[in-house]
Order: sequence, then C-alpha cells, then structure tokens
Amino acid sequence: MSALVLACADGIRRVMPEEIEGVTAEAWLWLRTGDVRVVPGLCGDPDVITRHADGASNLVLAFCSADLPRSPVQATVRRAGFDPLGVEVVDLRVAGEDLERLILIFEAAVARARSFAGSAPENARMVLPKAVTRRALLRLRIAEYVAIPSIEPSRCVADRGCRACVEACPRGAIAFSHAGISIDPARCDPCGLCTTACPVEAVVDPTVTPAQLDAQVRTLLDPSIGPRGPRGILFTCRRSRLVEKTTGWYPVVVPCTGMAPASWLLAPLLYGAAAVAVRPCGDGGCQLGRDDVVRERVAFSRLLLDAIGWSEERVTTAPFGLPAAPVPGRSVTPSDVFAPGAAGHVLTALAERGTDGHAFALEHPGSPVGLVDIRAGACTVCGMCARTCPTEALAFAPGGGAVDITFDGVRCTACGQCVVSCPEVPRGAIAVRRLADRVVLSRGATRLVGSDVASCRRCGQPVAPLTMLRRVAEILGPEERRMTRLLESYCLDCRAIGIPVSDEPAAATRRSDAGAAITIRT
Amino acid sequence: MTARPSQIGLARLRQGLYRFIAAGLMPPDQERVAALASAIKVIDASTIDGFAFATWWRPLGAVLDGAPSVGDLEADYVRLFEAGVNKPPCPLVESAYLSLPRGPGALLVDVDREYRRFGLAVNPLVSLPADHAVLELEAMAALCAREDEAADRGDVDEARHVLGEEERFLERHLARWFPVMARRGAMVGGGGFYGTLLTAARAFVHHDRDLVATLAKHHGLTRDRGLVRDCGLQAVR
Repeated sequence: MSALVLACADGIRRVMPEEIEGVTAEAWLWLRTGDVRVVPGLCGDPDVITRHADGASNLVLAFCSADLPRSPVQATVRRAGFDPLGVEVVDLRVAGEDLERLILIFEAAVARARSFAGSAPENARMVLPKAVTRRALLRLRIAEYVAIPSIEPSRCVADRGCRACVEACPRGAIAFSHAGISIDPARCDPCGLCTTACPVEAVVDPTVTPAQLDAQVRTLLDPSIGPRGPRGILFTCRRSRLVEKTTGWYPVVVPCTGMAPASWLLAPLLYGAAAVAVRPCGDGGCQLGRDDVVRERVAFSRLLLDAIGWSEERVTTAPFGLPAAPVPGRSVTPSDVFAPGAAGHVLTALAERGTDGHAFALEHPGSPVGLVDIRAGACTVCGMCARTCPTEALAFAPGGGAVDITFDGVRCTACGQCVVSCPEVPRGAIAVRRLADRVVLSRGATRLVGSDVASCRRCGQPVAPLTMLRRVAEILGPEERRMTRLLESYCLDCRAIGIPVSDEPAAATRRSDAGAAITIRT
Repeated sequence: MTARPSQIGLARLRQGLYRFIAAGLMPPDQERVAALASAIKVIDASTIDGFAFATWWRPLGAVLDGAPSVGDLEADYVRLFEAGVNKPPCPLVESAYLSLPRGPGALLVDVDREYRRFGLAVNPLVSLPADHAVLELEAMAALCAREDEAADRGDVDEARHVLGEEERFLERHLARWFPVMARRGAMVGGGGFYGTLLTAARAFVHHDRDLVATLAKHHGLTRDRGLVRDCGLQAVR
C-alpha cells in the first residue's frame, strides 16, 4: 500500500490553473512513495475523503487553508480507518505557484506521515467548538481534538529523581506523585516543551517525534526532489497564522518554537540546508513567553558556527536571501539527529565539517550539552549522581577493589539531576556548566573521580568506597570511633547476620578516643 | 418510533458504551457474546466516529465478527481476571490498584455511599464487591441515562447536576484505576477479545473523563478529586 495525498482542486486551481486543467479526480502527480489526487470541494465537504482514501497506507490532506474546522475532517478520517493524529495537513498557500515546490512539500509531508508510530488514547485532548449553546453542549455530536503528550512509563526515569518535564511545563500540567509522572489534559496547552526537556524520550507527542522531524527535514533537503538552488528550513509555531512563501524556505511545523533545542537548529545543516530559521508565533512574540529561550539558542548556534568557520548567518530568527549551501564534509551524519541524546553528536559532526580547526569550547545558556565538574576533595564517590543521571552520561564503574565515576560528555544534556541528588553539594562536590567543548564531546567516557573500596572482613565483599566511609566517620565524629570501625569492616549482609562481640560498638565511647585516626582495612 | 443510531444523544451513546464494556467484563457465555456482537454493529453505525476513542473501538467489530469460541473466552477470562500465583494479572476490583494500608473497607464503604447518592443499590443477588468494574461501569451507565432523560425533557439544570455527579464518580473512582487495569490487561491479553476490549475501554474511559471535565468546566462546576485526596489513598501503577 502506498501513501495518498488528497489536494483540494479549488486551492490548486487558484495558484496553478494550467497545471490541473482537464485533470480528473484520478492520480494527478506520482510521488516516490505515493500519489496525489485532486479532489473538487475537499475543503467544503470532507466526507469525500472516505471515497478516495480506500487502500492507502498513509494520508496527507492539502487544504486551501489550515484554518478549517477540524472536527468534520477528523471524524471522516476516522471513518476511513486512519488515526487523525497521523494524518498530515498541508496548507496550499505555503506552496505558492511553483509545482516543483509543491511536490517537494508533498513528499516531505508523506515522509512525515509514514514515520507516524501510532498514538495512545491519552494523546487526544478534546476542545470544545468555539460557539456552542448550553443546551447544544449536552447533545454534542462532534468534538475537536488536539494532540497532547503522554508518558511512556517503561522509559520514564522519574523514580531516579528526574523531574525535567515537570520543571519544563509552563502550565503546571505535569505532576509527580507516588504513581509516577502524570499529565493533566485539562491544563495542557500542547507546546512540546516537555517532550524536548525529557532526556530519555519518555514524554511522547506522537505528532512531533524525532523520527517524524528527521523524515520531513531529510526529504525537504533531498537534492533529487524539488526545485534547484539552496534550501532553508524554517521552524514555525503551530499557533502561527503566518504563511511563509519565501523562495527556498520550507516550513517545519512544531507545537512551539521554544521547544527546539540548539541541536535542532544545527542538525538540518548536516543534511545540506543552506540555513535554518526559527520563527515564533507572530509579531507579538511567543505566546508562552519563550522568546528569550529561542534567542539564546539561536545565539549559541551562531557562536558555534562562527567557531568552526561557518557563517553565523546560517541560523537566524527570520528568513532571508539564502546563501549557497555549504559543501558537505566527509564526516558521517549521525542518525536520529532530533533525538534528545543526539545533541552532542550533532555538534561534533558539524565541527568535523568546519573549516576552522574543528575546535570549540562555548559556555552559553543556549548550549544543548553540558559538562559535569566533580571536585575530588569534596566528592565521596557515593555514586548518587550516576544513579540519577537519566542519560547515563555519569556512570559508576566498580572493579578491582576500587570504584570510579566516569563522564561521557556526548550523552550529557545538562539537566542538572546529578546536582539535585548529590548529598555533598554544600561542599561544592559537583557542578554542571552549559558548556559545549569539542574535546569533551569527542573523548568518550573518562574518569572524573575514584576511590578504593573497603572489603568485608568476614565475606570479602565490597563494603563502600573509602572516601565515603571517611566522610561518614567525619560526620559521626571521634565519639563514634567503634561504630565507624564496624561500618568499614563488615558489609550490610554480615552485619545483619551478626558480628563478633569484640567488634560491637560501645554504648558510650571515651572522650580520650577523640582524634584517633581511622584505620580502614582494604 | 425508535431513534436511528445517528440521532442518539451523547449521553445515551455513553450509556450504551458503558453497558457494553460492563457486559464484556462479565464471565462469558454464548448468549452474551452474541449480544455483544450485535451491539457492536449498532455502535459502529452510530456517531462514534466523531470521537477520538473510535480509533480503538473499530478493531472490536472485527474480533467479534470472528466469532470467538466461548471456551477460549472463558480460559482467557480466568487467566486475566481470576487466577494467578498470588493474584490475577489484572483483577477487576478497584481496591487491587490502590495503596490501602487499612484494607479495602474504607474504599468499599465510599463506593457504596456513592451509589446511594445516585439512588442506586447493589442487588444482593449479585455476588460482586461494590468496587467491581462491572458495577462501577453500570453506575456510570445509569447516570448517563439520567442525564439523557433530563436533556430530553429540556431540564438543563438537572442534566448539569447529573453531569457533576458523573465527574465526581469518575474522579473519585472509575477513571482513577480503570485505565491502569485496562492498560495492564491489554498487554497481557494481546490481540484477543479481552485485549481489544480493554484497549477500547481504556480509550473510552480516558476520553469520558476528559469529556465530562470539559463539559463540567464549561458549566462552571467545580472539580472534586474526592477520596484519594481526602483519605490520602494513592493510585498504584
């Protein structure tokens, strides 16, 4: 089965009448993975969809305007056997009068529709029609739905302390409770900020997944389709009423441009984009007040491009006359460039194509990656930071009577969970900086701190890192010297079984023991 | 004269769906399976396509068209809802999904009190606990029927009042645990009748909570999260 694009004949006729003269409702254009049919009156009577969509694997609808009432379209699409959240809608005004451009936009919409992985019941939120009387409300026949994110419990790491989505939500719609993370649909005004804040892709908006964006952007930049010349990718807000027809620029619609991390703004350059622009809702700026965040991320992207010897003009907040596309380098483009954990890979791949020594070290609030600093004198190597790190950038690596904490910069998203969980923050044990450093991103996992591990006197099993035991001794003080010795000498299991009487801590320790050095057996 | 399916009111449609799910979660027998197979045809022909949960209801028709054998259904029913090493994979009672430090007593009393508020009482001949899914679904169906009758009479205030009761019951009980049970059951039940029914039921209950909350908000009714907040009970995964 192939994909199908149903285009409103009236909309096409308005901009390119000669192109569809004499065309019937049968296939008008053939795409690589589907075909396009022009349907008279599609915008006025969505019921015709059921007549045409039979047998198609995926559906794209091209309307004269994207402002049509959604409910009849969604109901018809459901009747035709499709999930409305997986049906792409193209605004024909965006295509302008260029058939080649229209074909490219259709191909990209088909690619995005084919990457739809299905939705869950929790992904549809009902919105009431604009005008409805009290009485009619109780007879409501047709409802409109918008896509909202849902939580994938099997991926969520909230039990490890992560609250990235809760903190990112500007509406307070996400909460953590005993049962895990939950989203209140009544409060959610789908902006997508939680989806990109989540470091493990556990918050899923099925209409804007990394796979869908990747498919759409790759297709829009595929030189074998569409008009010749440089192309730009324009991230536009779903709320925006702007219709962009600037030559060479192709819109990619997202719920809110504030959700796009800097790596999204840079990734299309790896696929051959001449430039990337990000445009908020409208002239009044972002409705969610994310203008500052967008500006920060654009600023970071420009600094990075400058550092690697590319024109910083390639990332901007408004479309402009496009420069020639940069010459592709020899580096391999990483896969899943829009996935949360891909930011580091995007930056390094871009640097490999740069012309200016390939190095950069930028500390900036718009950086999508971070650098964890651990101060050896203050860290007790307890491993809490590694246990809570959602992306496993920090890892606890035991072995050979010692334990290390390692850091892999390319995995770090600067979420800050390690700092939240560290019990030694007041002593300055750990800090995260929004720093993108080429060297750190490229070197893989490296040891930050380590410690020898005390072994159980009875069974030989590891007890705890020596640095941690020393810190415990320091907190307990010299009065608890025998208790300290017990803790360092026996593992938890052996203490549960019972210990020799001679090793039991005294009920009261003489003050004269104060200051005695701790002897730790390894 | 009977109404055509397309003319069925929203509350009447919801009542039918609640009753369908309740019947589907009763122990299977030949007569009930036949009744469900004919009911799904009526549902398919109704205005269901206008609602998001329709996506998950469509496969039910195909499953019931395949005429599943009662023997197989019985085996699945026992495996999913009644038997297990410690307990079945997805028991059909609310108390199995809440953290209840003092046992299910307070919960059962609260559910029973809710039924009485609505003027309902559990038939003593029915050997099901008050917090059983079938009874909670039937209670919602009864409320929907009452809302529909009020709307038919043009008594908007009564319909609003019943809507508030529906929201209260969903928030306090059914919507809090049923989707969790249904998700778990669908995973264990796979593509069979119960897996498909539970997926559809989860979509519907989730949607109904959303719908009722939206309508109640429009009518200016306040939200009552109820027992879970009052008694410190917490839903479990």
